[in-house]
Amino acid sequence: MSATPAVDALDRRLGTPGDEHPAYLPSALTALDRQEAFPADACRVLDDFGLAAHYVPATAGGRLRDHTELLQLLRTVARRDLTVAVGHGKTFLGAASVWVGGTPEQARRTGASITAGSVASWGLTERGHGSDLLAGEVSAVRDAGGWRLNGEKWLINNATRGDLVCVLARTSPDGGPRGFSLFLVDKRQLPEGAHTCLPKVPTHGIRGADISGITFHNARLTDDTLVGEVGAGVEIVLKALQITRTVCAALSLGAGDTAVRIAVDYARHRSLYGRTLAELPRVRRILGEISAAQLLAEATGLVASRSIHALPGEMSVISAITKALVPDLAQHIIDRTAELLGVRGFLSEQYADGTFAKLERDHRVVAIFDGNTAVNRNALIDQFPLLATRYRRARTQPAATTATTVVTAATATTAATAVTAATAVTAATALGRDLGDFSPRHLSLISSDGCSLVQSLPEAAARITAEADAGRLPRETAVLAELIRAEADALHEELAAQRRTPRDVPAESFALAERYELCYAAAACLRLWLDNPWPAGRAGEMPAAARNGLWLQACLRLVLTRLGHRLDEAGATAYDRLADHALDVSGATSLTTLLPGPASRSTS
Amino acid sequence: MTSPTTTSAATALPHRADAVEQHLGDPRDPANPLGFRQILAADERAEMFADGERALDAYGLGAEFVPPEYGGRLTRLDELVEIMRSVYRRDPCLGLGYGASSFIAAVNIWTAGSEEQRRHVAGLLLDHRKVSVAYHELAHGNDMIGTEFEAMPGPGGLVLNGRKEVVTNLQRSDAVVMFARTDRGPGSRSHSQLLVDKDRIPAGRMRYLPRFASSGMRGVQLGGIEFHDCPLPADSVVGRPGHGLETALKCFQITRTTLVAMFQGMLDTGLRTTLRHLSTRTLYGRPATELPEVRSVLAGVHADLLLCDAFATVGTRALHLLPAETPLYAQAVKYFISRVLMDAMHRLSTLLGAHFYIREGEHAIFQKLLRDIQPAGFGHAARAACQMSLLPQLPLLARRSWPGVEPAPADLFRLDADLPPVPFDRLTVTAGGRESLSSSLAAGLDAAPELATAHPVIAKVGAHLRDDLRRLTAECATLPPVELSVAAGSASYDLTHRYVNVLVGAACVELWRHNRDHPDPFLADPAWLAAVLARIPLHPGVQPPRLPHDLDRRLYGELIERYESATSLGLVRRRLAEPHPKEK
Amino acid sequence: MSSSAIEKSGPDLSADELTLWLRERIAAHLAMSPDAIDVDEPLTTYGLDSIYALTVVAEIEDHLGLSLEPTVMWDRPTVSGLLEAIAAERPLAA
Repeated sequence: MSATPAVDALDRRLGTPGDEHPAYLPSALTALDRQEAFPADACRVLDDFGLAAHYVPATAGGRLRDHTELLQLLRTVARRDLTVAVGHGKTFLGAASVWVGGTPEQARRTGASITAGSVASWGLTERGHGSDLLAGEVSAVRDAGGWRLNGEKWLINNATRGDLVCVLARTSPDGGPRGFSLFLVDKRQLPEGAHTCLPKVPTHGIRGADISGITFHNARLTDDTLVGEVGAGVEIVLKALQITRTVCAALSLGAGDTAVRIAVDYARHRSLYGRTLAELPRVRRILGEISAAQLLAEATGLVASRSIHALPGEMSVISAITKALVPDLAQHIIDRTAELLGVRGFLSEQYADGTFAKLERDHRVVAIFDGNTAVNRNALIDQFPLLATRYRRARTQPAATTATTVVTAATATTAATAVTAATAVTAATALGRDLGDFSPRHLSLISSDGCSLVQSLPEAAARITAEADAGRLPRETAVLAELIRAEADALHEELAAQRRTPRDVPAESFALAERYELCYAAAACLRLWLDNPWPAGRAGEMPAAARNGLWLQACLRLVLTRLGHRLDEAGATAYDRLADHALDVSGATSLTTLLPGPASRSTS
Repeated sequence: MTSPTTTSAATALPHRADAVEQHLGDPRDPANPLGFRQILAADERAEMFADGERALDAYGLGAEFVPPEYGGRLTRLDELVEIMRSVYRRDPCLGLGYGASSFIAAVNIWTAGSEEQRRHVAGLLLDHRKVSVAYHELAHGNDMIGTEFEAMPGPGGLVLNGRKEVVTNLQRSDAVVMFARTDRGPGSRSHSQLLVDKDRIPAGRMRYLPRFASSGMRGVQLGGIEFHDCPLPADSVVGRPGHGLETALKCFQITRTTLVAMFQGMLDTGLRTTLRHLSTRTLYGRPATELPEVRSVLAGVHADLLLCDAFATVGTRALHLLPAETPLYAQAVKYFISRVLMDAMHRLSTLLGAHFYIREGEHAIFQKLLRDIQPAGFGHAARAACQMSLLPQLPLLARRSWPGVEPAPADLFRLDADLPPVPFDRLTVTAGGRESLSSSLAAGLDAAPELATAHPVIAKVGAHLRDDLRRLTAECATLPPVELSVAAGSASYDLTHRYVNVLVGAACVELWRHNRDHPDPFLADPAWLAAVLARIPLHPGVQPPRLPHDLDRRLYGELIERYESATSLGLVRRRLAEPHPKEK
Repeated sequence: MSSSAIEKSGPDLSADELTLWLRERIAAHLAMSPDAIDVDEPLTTYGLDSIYALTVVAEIEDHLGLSLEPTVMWDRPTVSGLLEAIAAERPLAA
């Protein structure tokens, strides 16, 4: 399905646990972290591999055709080390605005530069303003056919190492949503003294990363550095963030992969009270539960990244969900693993070379990187009214009925929209289906269609029930799916009833946003099950847990538990059986994943 | 060793903790040589904060760990906790590496040591020396029976062989309390504590292992030690030979309860730091603290802190008043508080956003505390080990206590009630399924019918916990043996979670009921009770919901008032060394 | 508690009945056959852990209506040792 040759090749290049590429030896990476040194050797391996070309759309001369492939590539790196993934992957974030808002010529030029090794960085945040982009003070003023750039950008990943910096600057003194513009600044072309890089900021995790800042001193920019129209900066940034926030799921998925691997490995080998931990039902339950969390995160990330192509107009919703939920699930996995490991997870050198202790610190950056969780939940909350009305419309006029109903003129448009949306959802969830090119012009600041995937949840639940009726799924799965459908119905009633002013988002809206994220994840799981063949005959290629629908049952259960449902203990054995799968796989290097190929390969 | 006198609460509680506060000064003042700036610098170097240690020497913190009979000031454990919170809220490395590790070691001696050992250890602590406590072996974790380090009879006494790992202060202590196998046969009488005076170790028979580096508590020197055919005089054994497990289980009640209670100091600083940041930060054109979600998270965390304090207060007082029951309460306190504290710190980190991630600047202390708090979950005892200790007690509890017994006495909850001295000689290895706190839940709710209407949360959570105790009584009475062991099913572990919740609820309700006449009107207000009950994680694995609006407002208002008046955030207000922010 | 062959409890139990009951209870806790328990073998050999033993003592107390040192099984870790300790605490039935 989604394991492409590039992902496979990168995975082989970096090696497997115990047989790593020298630059990816855990002891080497944790030593760099202690020295707060940039993992240059590890990044060079990625350069030699040509990873940077995957940050550049094919239309701009690169190899980026499928954002899921990019997600899986960065996950492959993040699984080894988050500092490397953040340090190298930042180039994609830095350039994303150009892919979204630049001219074809600019994109080609930037693409060529990146493919040739230029490091790009993204200058958005400023001291004291954080995520509040409209408060930015860095300014660009017109000057003889060009611009003069002044001010300081701070807490910028790769501000010092970067060759290119995509800077959001105030171009209208009054600011406002049309008061900012984007400039792609090539530091190498600035005259002496036009910029100063700020000292590296010591951080809690990703200690080797170049988190610094840059100050521009009346830097003269040519007109061709402007990305998009004057005044379009904020809009372009918000659209580019829809892409980058979705791709950031890769960081959490990679961290989750490693945490689950370490937990399983520990349980398998650790003897206490005269037996291995893996023999203890309580430990198996924990392993199963974190495996389910990892699969739920993966399902969300896969469908969301495919939606960049299939449902670009909905990415304002989908990216917010993904960026809030996936790091949260990974944090949960890491916390449970930390509790299992005890003191070993706390030792920064003596256990597993300190990989887990580093991972625990590193991963916390993901929830604050590229828009923190609160910012993302706010973005989702802003769209509650639309999400509610579109869901209600889909409930009253399901797409599936249109083929057999007489379509009146009045409903024709709606029905046609529904059919299109249904097709697009399937494109996002049928993993084998070829995705078209990503078209940035379809990105939108709000999703006028709401969230088609969540709208498809009731129908998907009905199809799951039919599957259970036909004996292809356990009855339990259908029961869980129906409970989630009821949850989604109730949730949308509450969304519709929310009263708020734009300034005063009530705290309970955040609780609703969390529930919405879970409904999305559940819908992703249901549709992944329904829209993909899980061939029973291809043992060895498809992970067993993926074939038999066990994963679906465990993920749905996890969603319902997180939604506050109390489920009976009997069904929780789905976790235990999932854990058995994780523990049974030969070798210590297997991964918990729905995907075949390198992600699940036990040895290379 | 216990004396019949009681100490007076009126003079005991505030003043020594206040003295430590004033002695250490305003932690945020960059000019304070004992402030966060210097604490963080030491942490960066992975060193103990030397000036801080000298300041604690000058205060004489060691005397707080020594009972008065031996020249110290250890009369009340709640006092000790409060004093240590002032240390932990500044630098947990000092808390553990200067204080708590010596305290743990000393409790072994007060509980089981000879008169001479007591005098010796008291002398060391009063002289600002360290005593370390070496139980831990990496291979065995919390499984003490598996201990391999041995002290076998030999010429002239004992012969030591084996190693201990990840032990605080092992190298810089003057003496070590060690947990050793003293009989190679299996069983529960095969271990003993030793008080190893380093002066008595002959040359060439002992070596230190390299220091263990850790991601939190970086300044604390975690070491290892290895003995090879090392002779030691027989009088090094603490208490009756072979009774080491019994001594350990008794001591743990004191140390598990009080250590995790001390950790609460970290959440105080975490909350204060977050509030300070957000109240000075403008987001979307106004102070971040005006965002309802921000207020809600802050109010919820303050409720969490009060919840921890309530349970820790009752758990600590029980050590004085109901030592026969603390084998149960200590496990519950450690299990419950550790998770609430860690989760609360995590939620605060999400409010700080990128600012929590930076190791410099005025909020840098937060990331240190986030790292330092992690041992709450595994240090001294893993949370799972606490559950495993409770599991086999469940059927007994269901038979002997839960159907209803005489509720816990009022003195357990009355904050102004005197406490007898720490009853080291009355600690027991097991409660045998007998405790009174769970019966206090229904008793307390029934005795204060006004609570039913005081706030809907009180009625709801109160009813839930009462019903759950009834369900637990039925479910646990028939638990088969396999469900009481380490190999129990996951649902059985969850039974312990639910039981602990009942204890927590009872502690909160009764604290409120017995302190309605407290001079602080906040304590008389059922709002705090409603808020803390709302934060009990009733369902294992599911975070409690946000506070209802009215409680949000009440708790947030209280938090701001305490913050602005530089008073502590727990049940009992204490003036802190920070200047009054409004006076600045 | 699983059903016991011995329905009597408390002081009515004869020494033999007590032995039978004790072996049966301990066997139940260890999930093994009573016949497989050697009354002179330390019960730790069969995997009875220290903390758990405290619980078994409490169960014996409730069944026999007497009070024992909680650590009695630590000091007398065999069935026969335990019986001696119990005998010292109760008058034997005729």
